[in-house]
Amino acid sequence: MRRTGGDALVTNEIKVLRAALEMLWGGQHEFHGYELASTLADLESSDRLMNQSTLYRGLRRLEERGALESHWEDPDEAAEDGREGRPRRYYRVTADGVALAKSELARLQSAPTEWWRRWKPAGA
Amino acid sequence: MNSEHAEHSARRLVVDVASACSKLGTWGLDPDLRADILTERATDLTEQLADPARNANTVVMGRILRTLVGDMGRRISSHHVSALPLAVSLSIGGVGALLYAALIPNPDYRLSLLLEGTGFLMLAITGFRSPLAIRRFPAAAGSLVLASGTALGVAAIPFDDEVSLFAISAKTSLSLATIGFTALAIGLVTEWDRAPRLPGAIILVAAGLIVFSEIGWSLYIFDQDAVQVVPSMLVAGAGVLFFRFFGRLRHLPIE
Repeated sequence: MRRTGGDALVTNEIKVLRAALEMLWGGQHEFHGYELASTLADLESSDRLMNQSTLYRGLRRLEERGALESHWEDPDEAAEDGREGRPRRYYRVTADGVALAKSELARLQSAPTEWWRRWKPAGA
Repeated sequence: MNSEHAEHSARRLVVDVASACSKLGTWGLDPDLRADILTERATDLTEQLADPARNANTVVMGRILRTLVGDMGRRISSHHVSALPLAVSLSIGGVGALLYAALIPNPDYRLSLLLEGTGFLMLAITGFRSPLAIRRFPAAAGSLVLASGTALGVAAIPFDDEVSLFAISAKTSLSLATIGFTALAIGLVTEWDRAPRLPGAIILVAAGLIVFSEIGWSLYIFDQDAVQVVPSMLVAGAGVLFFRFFGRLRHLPIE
């Protein structure tokens, strides 16, 4: 997706961060990509999971922004769990991530107001 | 037992398709980053296949296809786009066309090729001088010179005696190129279309046909005039590069 608004998050990144925060508020401090995709689909009451390209690009971008941090599961633990060669990458929301979500929320709430101020008809 | 076997085979196929699509979609990325992405996606797929609510083969395949589309979209909309590769291919095409002009005896073809070579080089210089943005007026001037060259080429190809496949292909491709380059020049000057998709598409089709014509012509004249094969193949090679890189031009800002 082409970025036009500088450092602002794009829609899919906002969705990913929202799902991550939902899990955090639900008591789940760590999650892997598929859990996040499922949570997001549930939040949107949709049967469709976010595609892997968008999902993992969003997670990577949020990690670069410091909103998330991640670590790989120990391969031995994955093997014990019957996932030989398929370790999970766990993510957690950071304090910066919470702050970023608040600033994005403020931006989104102010955006329509700003738009209306600029384009409202005379006398409205 | 048979249905179990069929189900297992279908799952195997889904996993293989997903793996192939992910490899294709991440091709060319930094090797470490790519390895991480492939592992993470493979794990994700394992989780999905184990999730009874979302593991129907059609659902999984749908997500795999959307992932592939997403990967391709990311590649196409990448910001790391430069006009340099295009400028290189245009230079090769320009040199080829000028060489062609020097070698060809027919004065009508010579003038056409001279203009085409000049137009190619003008566009190439624009790309070399400003690789991160299209300079509107220099690019439009180069496009117009190219359009006039290709228009002369259309007029110069005889259609009266025996009509050959080469003549049809060359006339069609040059006509399309004339329309495409004219539309591109107009679009660049008037900002009629800041992302010149339509002219781009026309020129891409024309470039494909020109490559086809040039290769055909090279094979045809190989035993008669082997020297002419060199510029002809240069133009064809440039056409291939042009075809490869022109589509990315629309992601460059126009100044």
